[in-house]
Amino acid sequence: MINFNAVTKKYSNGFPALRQVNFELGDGEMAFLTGHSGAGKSTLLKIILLMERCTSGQVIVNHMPLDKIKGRDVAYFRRSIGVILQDPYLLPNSTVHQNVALPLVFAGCRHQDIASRVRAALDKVGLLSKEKMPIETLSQGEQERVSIARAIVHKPKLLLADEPTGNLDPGLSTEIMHLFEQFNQMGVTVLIATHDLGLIGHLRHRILTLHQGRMVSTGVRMMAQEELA
Amino acid sequence: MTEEKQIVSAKKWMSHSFIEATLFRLRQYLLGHYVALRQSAHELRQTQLGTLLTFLMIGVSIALPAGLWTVMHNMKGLTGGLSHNAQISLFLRMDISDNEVENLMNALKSNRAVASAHYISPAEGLKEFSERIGMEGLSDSLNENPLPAVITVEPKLVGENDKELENLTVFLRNLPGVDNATLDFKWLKRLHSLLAIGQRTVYALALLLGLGVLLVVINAIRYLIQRYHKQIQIYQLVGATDPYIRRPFIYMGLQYGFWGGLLAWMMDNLILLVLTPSVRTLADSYSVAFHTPYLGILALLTLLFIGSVLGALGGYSAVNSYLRQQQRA
Repeated sequence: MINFNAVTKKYSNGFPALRQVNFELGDGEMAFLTGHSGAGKSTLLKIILLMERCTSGQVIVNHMPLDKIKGRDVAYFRRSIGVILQDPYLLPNSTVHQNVALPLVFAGCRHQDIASRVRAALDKVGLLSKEKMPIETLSQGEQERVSIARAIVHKPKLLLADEPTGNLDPGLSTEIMHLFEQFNQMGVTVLIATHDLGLIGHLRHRILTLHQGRMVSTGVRMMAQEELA
Repeated sequence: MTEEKQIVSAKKWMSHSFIEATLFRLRQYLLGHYVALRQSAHELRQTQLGTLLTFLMIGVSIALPAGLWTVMHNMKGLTGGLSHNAQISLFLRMDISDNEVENLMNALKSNRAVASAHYISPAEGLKEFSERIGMEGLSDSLNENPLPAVITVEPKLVGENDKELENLTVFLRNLPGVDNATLDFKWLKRLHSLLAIGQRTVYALALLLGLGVLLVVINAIRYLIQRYHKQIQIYQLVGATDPYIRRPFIYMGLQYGFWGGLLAWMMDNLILLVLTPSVRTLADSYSVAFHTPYLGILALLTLLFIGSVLGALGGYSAVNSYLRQQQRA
């Protein structure tokens, strides 16, 4: 699903955010991207989302080389990806339903389809009862879940999350991680950037580690800590 | 069902499905525009004072050239009664006989350089003169008519070649029965030149103020884009295309221009309403027919169209520049 081949990203000020990064993430796989703050996690996700272009190397997402995607096609490419960011990026003056429906509206779905799919997505994240509520009235955890519902409503093949639990308490964070695992079990490829090693420590998924822009580990975590014990 | 029937049925289904899909896409497209229009109107209502000031700025920018154009247009109307061609006035001898006048008229009409010749008798001349100066009983108070008979000649040389006209004047002056001949040409030429300069000034002003409208709209839309920066980012993140993002801002620009055009039309008509009595008095003093030059429905439609086009262009330009900047960043 994702293939990074000797990818380097230098910002205009000369700062090298990624250096010769190589890794592969297969279809239906779930992985965590870890590293200290400034290690290059967000830059890597931005490159996958085409919010940034790499300086050198090649990135292939869903069999598509990203350097071949022109500016006007970026929007269509992004429709195949679900995105969750630390700041939930929700429209504050709109309702939960309106926020979750956005990807379907942009994809030109029928009104009836939008309504049913939004309800299904909200049901998955446990917010169906708050469908008509304005975003401002929701707690931070609920807003994060709205953001997840928006990311999955159009049934993307790839789900990207950048510090999705950054603002949440441990209980809620675990709940959110379980949600991602559920989506992964349905066949969605999931890549989550996080620096919360405590949270992912007991989960049985690959951990990709970035350090000062270099991929220092792409190992497979075979068993959870509890199982080892 | 035979294979042939199955193919026909499949073709029918496909064509029906194609029509349905096309209609759906068309409906979605129109719906998208309707939503963008409503959204833009809503956004403009949110910033009432700012929106009103922008409307006024655009209104004034459009009203000025439109008003000047109307004035120039009416000036041309007022001078429209005056011939564009040169005119030569032949003042005949005081003692000229009717026979000589007839011979002279025949000679003039048969001359290839003369387009037309019109005889004004001394009595007609005095009547016209007394009417123009507002002393209708002047002819009765005079024992003798002091005015000579006059023939006004319009040459075929359409006022382009001064030398030829002067030669023709000299020729006509030397005809038997003619006392003097004057060429009434330069003042008319100057007047038309002044009007032409005025007209070009209006065009230049319209161009500059049109650019002004464009800049006002660009500035206003840039401000709105800054306000909706995060919303645009969210839209882009979840797959909104550039045309989708551009649309509401283009409609905002279009509405700025549309209402600005309407304001311009109202402002111009208000100014003309105030000016009309004074201009009418002036026109009456010169015995020139004057019609109130209000801007009508056609002018309104033109101003609305120009305003809307400039506004939409400004909106497009502002949002496009923002999107390009984002792509570069």
